[in-house]
Amino acid sequence: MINLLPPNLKEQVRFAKLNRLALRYLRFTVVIIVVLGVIFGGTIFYLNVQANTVSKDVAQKQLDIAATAAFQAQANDISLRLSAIKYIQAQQTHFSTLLNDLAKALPTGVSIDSITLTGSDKTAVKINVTAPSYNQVLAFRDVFAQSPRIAGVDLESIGPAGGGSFQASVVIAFKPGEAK
Amino acid sequence: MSPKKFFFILLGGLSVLILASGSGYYFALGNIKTTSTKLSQQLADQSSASTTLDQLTKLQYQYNHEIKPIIPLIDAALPRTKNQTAILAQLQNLAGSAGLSLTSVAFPSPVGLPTNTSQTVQTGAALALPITFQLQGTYQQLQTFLTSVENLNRFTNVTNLAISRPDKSKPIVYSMTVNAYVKP
Repeated sequence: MINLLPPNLKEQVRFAKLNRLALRYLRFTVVIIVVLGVIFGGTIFYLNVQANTVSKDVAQKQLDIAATAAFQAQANDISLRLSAIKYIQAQQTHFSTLLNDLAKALPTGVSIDSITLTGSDKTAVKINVTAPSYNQVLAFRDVFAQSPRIAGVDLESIGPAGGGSFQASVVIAFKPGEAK
Repeated sequence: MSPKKFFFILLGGLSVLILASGSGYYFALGNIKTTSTKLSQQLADQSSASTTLDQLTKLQYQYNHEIKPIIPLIDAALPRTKNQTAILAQLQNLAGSAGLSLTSVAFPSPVGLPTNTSQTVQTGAALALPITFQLQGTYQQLQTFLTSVENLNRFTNVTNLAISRPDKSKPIVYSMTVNAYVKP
């Protein structure tokens, strides 16, 4: 078909067709932008609402935590006291049991004249005893050496105490943890 | 308006729209990223606060139901002040009950002005009030006394016990140091 329209008019017709295409793209772009805008806007709104809600909840929880400050102070105090009690109990001596165990190890007729207990198993303990005979002193040394609490026994001196009895000085070492 | 002119106007409008939407996209994406970072931080804070609050609530319940009722016992066992007269009266009573005679009592000299914790020494996490005293009696009486001291309602500890019998015709002499504990 031969287009007999003048060039100027032909150009106007061509641009008119392009305009129709451009308008179609413009409409499509606007729709896409609106849809994306709604999605992004909704997301931002939702996130902000969530952030505000969580922020208020955190603030409330912090207030609740702050409200327990008095309790926390009391709990800390009692915790310190219980720690102190734990320490004291670990240091506790039981000399009544210790003396009983030592007394059980004494042979008949042997009596303790002096002893000093400190609860320490690092230092030696000197015991002065009186025994009815020389052999009883030796027996005392041997029996003491067999005691489950005693690590070692050294006889230091034996001498007469009058009336046929003997006085002895003995140094003992306790096993670890057995001196209290 | 000619179609050609309208076409260029449309083209310009489309370009401006695309540029504006690109900027909007960039801005919105930045906003979402910032807000989501803030939200995730707040959620972490919320979780941490919830855990802390839950633990505190459980501890508070435990404290109120298990610890609070025994606080008077703890305070009696480990007083906040040295309660010097009370412990001396207790020792005197225990010695009397065991049949021992309490011959002398001594405390360390106070350093500075007398207070509720003066005469005490730091022993681990507590303060100890050392009481040195002498007793006279039999070995069985000493055993009774020691057992009573070890089972006293106040935390005490016999730190030194010296037994001597200088004269066999006289009662045995016991020199003892007892630490009475204090926790201010």
